[in-house]
Amino acid sequence: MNKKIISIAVMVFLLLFFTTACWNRVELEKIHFILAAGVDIEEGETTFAVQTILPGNIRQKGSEGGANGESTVLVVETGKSVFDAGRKMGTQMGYKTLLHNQLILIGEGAAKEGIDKVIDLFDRSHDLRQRVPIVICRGNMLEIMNTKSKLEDIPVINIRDLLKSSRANAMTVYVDLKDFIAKNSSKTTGALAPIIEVFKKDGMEKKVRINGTAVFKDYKIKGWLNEVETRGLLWIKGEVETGVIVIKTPEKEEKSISLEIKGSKSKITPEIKNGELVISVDVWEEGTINEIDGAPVKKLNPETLKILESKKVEVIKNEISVAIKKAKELNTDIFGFDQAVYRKFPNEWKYLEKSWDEVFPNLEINVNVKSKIRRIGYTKNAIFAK
Amino acid sequence: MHETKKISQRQIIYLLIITIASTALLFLPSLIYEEAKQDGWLSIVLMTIYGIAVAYIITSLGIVFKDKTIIQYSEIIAGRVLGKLLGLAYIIYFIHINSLTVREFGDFMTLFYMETPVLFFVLALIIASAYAVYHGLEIFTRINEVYFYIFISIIIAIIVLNFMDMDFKQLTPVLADGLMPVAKAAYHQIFWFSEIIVIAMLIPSLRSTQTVRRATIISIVLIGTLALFLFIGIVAIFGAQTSRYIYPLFMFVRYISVADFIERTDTFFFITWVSNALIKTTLLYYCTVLAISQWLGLKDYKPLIIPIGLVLIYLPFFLWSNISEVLEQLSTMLFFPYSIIQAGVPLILLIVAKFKNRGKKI
Repeated sequence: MNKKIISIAVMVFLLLFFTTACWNRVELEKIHFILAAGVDIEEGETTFAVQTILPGNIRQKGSEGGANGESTVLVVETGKSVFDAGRKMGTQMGYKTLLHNQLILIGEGAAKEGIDKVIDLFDRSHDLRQRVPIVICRGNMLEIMNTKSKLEDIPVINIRDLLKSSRANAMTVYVDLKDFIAKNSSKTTGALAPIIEVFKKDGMEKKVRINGTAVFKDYKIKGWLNEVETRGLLWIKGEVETGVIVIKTPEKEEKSISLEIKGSKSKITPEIKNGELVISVDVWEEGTINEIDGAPVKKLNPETLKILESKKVEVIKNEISVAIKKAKELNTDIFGFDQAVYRKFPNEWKYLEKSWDEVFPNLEINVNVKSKIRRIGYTKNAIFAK
Repeated sequence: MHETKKISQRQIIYLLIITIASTALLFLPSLIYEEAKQDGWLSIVLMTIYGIAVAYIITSLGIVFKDKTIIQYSEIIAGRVLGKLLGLAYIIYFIHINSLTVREFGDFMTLFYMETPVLFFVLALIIASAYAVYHGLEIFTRINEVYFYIFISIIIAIIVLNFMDMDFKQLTPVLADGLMPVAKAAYHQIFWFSEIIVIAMLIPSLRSTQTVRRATIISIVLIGTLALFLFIGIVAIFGAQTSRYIYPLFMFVRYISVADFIERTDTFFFITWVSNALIKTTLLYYCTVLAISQWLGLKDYKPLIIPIGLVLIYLPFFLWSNISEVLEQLSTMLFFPYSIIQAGVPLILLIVAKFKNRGKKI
C-alpha cells in the first residue's frame, strides 16, 4: 500500500517535467499578431511590410471614438530577401510574431521584377495557409496598407471584405495563394490577381478600392484588365455571380434599362477543324430587370423581353470580345483554353504547348451567348408610359 | 515464447491498416504524382493488386507454418546457415524501415516545433513504443482498435470538408502519356503496400489462422481504397502542385475552410499522424525484438527492448541527414531492396517449400 502511494507520488512528480508543454512557449501578450504581409522590390532591395494589430485598441463597433490610439501598426523593413527583411524586423519589434495572415499584398515593383522572387516564403512557411488571398498594389504599397476605412478599423480586413464583394459583383477575380502559384507555374496559362489602389475624390476621404485585374505570365506582370475586360474574362470562365448590365432601350437610344445578373455558366469546347484549332465558348446567363429609365418601354410582354434579351446578349458578347482582344494583345491565355485543349486533345497538345505563344494570338474563338430574363420586378410597365 | 493466440481477425485488419496507411497516405500522393501525373490513381490500383499478391504468398507460408514466424520457418525451409542469413536480413529490414518511420515522424514534427530538437520527438516516440512493446502485442493492438475509429472518421471528415473545393477536371485527361508513367510510378513505389510482410511475424499470435489470408487481403484492399480516395481528392484540389509538396495530405488538411468557419484543422491531422507513427513504430519495434530473440534463440524478447531502442534512436540520424535524403531514397532507391525482402524472399521460400514437400499436402 505504502509502496503504491510512493510510486504514484514519484510518477506525478516526474509528470510535472513532461507536461509543461513545449519549451518554445510564448506568452500571449508577448506576441505580435500579423494580419497582413506586403512584399515589394525597389531598386533591387526587397521591402517587407507587415501589419500587426494592437488588440486593446480595436474600436468596438458602435462605441464613440473607442480606445485611444491606432489599432494597427505597420512595420517595414528592407533586405536582400523577404526572409532577410523579416528577420531584420526584430530591430523594430521585440516580441515574437505570429502570422495570422489574412492577406498577401504584392507591390507593383515586385510584380514587375517577378513574383517568384517574393512569394516562396509564404508557400514554404508553416504559418501560412494556401487559402490566403493575393492582391496586387497599384501605386504605393505602404500607403495602401495604411489607408484606414471608417467602415472597418483594420485596413487589411477592409481589403479582404472589398475583395469578396468585388468578386461577387464580377469586378475582379478572387485568387488564393494556391491558385496564384499554380497558374504562375504553368508555362501557358496566365495568372490573375485583383488590383488595389488608393482612390481620392474631391471632398472625400482617402480610400482604397479594387480596380480591375492584373495579368501575369512567367511570374511577371503583363498588363491590367479594366472592369469591362475583367467581366468579359469572368463570362468565359463562367464565374460571374452577379452584376449589372445596362442596355439601351429598343425604341430610344438615350434611355437605358438596368438588368441584374443572377447567375452564369460557361463551357469551353476546343475543336480541331481542318487541322486548325477552333475554340467555341458557350455562355449562359440569366437575370432580372431592375431599373427602367423613362417611358419608351410600353409594356413588358414576352416579345419585348425577347428584344431585351438579345440586347443583353450583344452587351455580353461585346464584353467577351473586348477581353479576348486584350488577352491576345498581351499574348496571355487567361481563360484556361490551354487546359481545355490539353484535356480534350492530349496528344496534339504536346506540339501546341511549345508553340502556344504563336497559336494563341491567332486563335479562332467562337462565342455563343444565351441569355434569359427571369423576373421583372413589381411593375409591368415603365413609369410615365403612355 | 511469443504470446498466446489472442489477436482477432478484426484487430489484425485494423493494425495492418494503421501500420501501412500511416506513412503511405502522407508521402505516396506526391511521390506518385511526380511520375504518373493525374493518372496516379491507376498506379495505386496496380500497387493494390501487387499487395494482394504479396499477401497471398506470405499467408500461404503462414498457413503451413502455423506456429512459426518467418525467422523460424526460413531456417526449416532454407537450411540452418541460409535460414539464419535470411533471418538477419529480416531483422535489418525491420530496423531500417522503423528508423525510416522514426525519421519521417521527427522531421514532420520539427516543421511546427521549430526550436525543439528532433531528438526530443524521437526520444518521446521510442520511449512510448518501448513501453508498449514491453507490455506486448495484445495491448497495443487493443489500443489501436479504439484509435482506428478516430482515424477513419478524421480521414472521411477531411475528404468531405474539402469536397466543395475539388475540381475533378484536374484528373483528366486519363492516360494522356500512355500506361508507361503509371507503371513506372507503381514500380518505384511498389514497396508501400507490401509492408504487409509484418504479418509473417504475427501469424503465431492470431486467434485463428484460417482467416489470416482473408484478413490481410481485406486490409490491403482497404488501404488501397483509402489511398485512392485521398489521391483523387488531393489532385482535385492541388493539381500539378501535388508533386511540389512533401506532405500533400497535410496541405490538403490545411486547405479545409468551410464557410470561413471550419478552418485551421491541422490539429486533427496531428492526432492521426502522431498516433499512426506510434502504432507503426511500436509494431515494427515489436517485430524487430521478436525476430532477434527468435534468431538468437532467446526465451524472451524483453531484454532486447532497451538495446534496440537505443539503435532506433541513433540510426535515424545516422542514416539520413535531412528529409531530402529520405525523399530521394523513397522515390527511386528503396523499392528494390525492400521488394526483395517483402516479396522476393517469401516467394522463393514458398516455391522451395512446395518443392520439398511435393507429394505431401501443404
